[in-house]
Amino acid sequence: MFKKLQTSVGDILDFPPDVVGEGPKITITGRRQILVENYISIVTFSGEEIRLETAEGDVCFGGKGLELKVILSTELRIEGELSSLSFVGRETK
Amino acid sequence: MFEWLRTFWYGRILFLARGDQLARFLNQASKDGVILYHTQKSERGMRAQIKLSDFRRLRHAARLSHTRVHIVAKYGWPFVAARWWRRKGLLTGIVVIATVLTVLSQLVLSISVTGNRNLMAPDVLARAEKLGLKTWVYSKTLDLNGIAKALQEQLPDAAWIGVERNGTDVRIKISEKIRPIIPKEAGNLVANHAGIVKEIMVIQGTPQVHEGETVRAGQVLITQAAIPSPPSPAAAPNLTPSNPNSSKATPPVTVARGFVRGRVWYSAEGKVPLVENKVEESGKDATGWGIKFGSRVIMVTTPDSPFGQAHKEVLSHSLLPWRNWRFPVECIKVNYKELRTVHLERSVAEARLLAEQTARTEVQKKITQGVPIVEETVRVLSSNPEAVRVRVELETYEDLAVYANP
Repeated sequence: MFKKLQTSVGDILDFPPDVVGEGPKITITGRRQILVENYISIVTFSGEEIRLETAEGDVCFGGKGLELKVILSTELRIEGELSSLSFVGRETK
Repeated sequence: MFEWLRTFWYGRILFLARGDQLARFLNQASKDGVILYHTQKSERGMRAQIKLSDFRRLRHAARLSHTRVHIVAKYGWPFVAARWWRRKGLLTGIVVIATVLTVLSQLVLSISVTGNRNLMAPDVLARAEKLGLKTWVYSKTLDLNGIAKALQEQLPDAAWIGVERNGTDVRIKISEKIRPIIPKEAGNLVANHAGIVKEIMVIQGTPQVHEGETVRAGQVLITQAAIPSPPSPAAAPNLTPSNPNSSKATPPVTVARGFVRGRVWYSAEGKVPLVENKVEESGKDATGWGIKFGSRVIMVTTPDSPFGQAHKEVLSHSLLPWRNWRFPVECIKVNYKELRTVHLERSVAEARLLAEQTARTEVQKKITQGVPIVEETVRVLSSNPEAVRVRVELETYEDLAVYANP
């Protein structure tokens, strides 16, 4: 109920979705730098795949030589050669 | 750069984490506020870096996720400092050496005399020591220009003396006065200038001229004694020159000694036109600042001279010079001084006065310093109607005899 109200107010006031919603904000610079904000936890990680839990479902980064450059509680910086990005799990309504 | 410095300053620990729940370990660590860097999976587990101050806080996450943490490497200033602190002897040695080097580099450790041919280096060094320039003194407190000036006053045979400090070495550079060069007359006293001999006093040797005789420059006045007679120790002090400050090298016992005083004339001419167009500074100036990189100059202010006719002076300021290394970018300051052409018309009296002043300045440069001027004559020469020529003649009474340079 509160979430729906929050979304409606946000739409009316023209707020950007990263301010209103709880979903992750993913910034990809070129192919080598990824900045993930607002994630919940790390599910799995290896040099080929990193899977993060977010409010919008799991985000899966595939690539080569992936490395978690900096891990903060709400922010994550990944470096490596990115080849794929996919959302797994919860469907959007 | 700053990131690297910060990392080095705070210290980093590279560790290897092993266990089945590495993702949980990471999540718990970030929940505890621990920041992990460069986290990578490897065959043996997970490698990551952490700040030294956060390492103890990792234990909670490791215990909850049953993860074992092994330190692989330690990096940064705290570890370097701890290592040095354990070697107190080495640290003390470094501090002592640095202190000794710093103190020693502030002192004068060697003094050398260069450029002297007839002046004796030990004599110059002894005089310099009396003026405060000696080894093991603090070099920054020495007034090198004052010492050079005092030395020059004490050594009349030196035309110029410069004292220059280069690190711990002080060099006394001497340029000697040019005396008549007559190799075969070495040891004889010869005339320094042309003049009329008025007084002769021979201490040792044979006089070759008599009072009232006109001598020319380089003419032999007193020749050395034909039969050398070594002086007795008791008589030796009487044979030294009367002037204790004289820098003349103590000659061997056979060389000629004595004084030959006489009248010497000096003259110089000055010529001043009655009508003259002269370029001189108007007093207006402008300054421009710029940057110089190699041969390329970029002017930031006043790129061109604001005056039609100007004298340009460029001053270069090198930034952050350190030892013999210089920063490649230099800051330059350009001073423009406006020049103007002045049309001068002088009366004959004015021109004569100016020509006399010019000629007097010229003649003063020629005469030996400190000698008394007996007579001064100013003559206006037959001039053309466009200019005035004046000759100033000075008559002095001075010692003519000097040793011929071999």
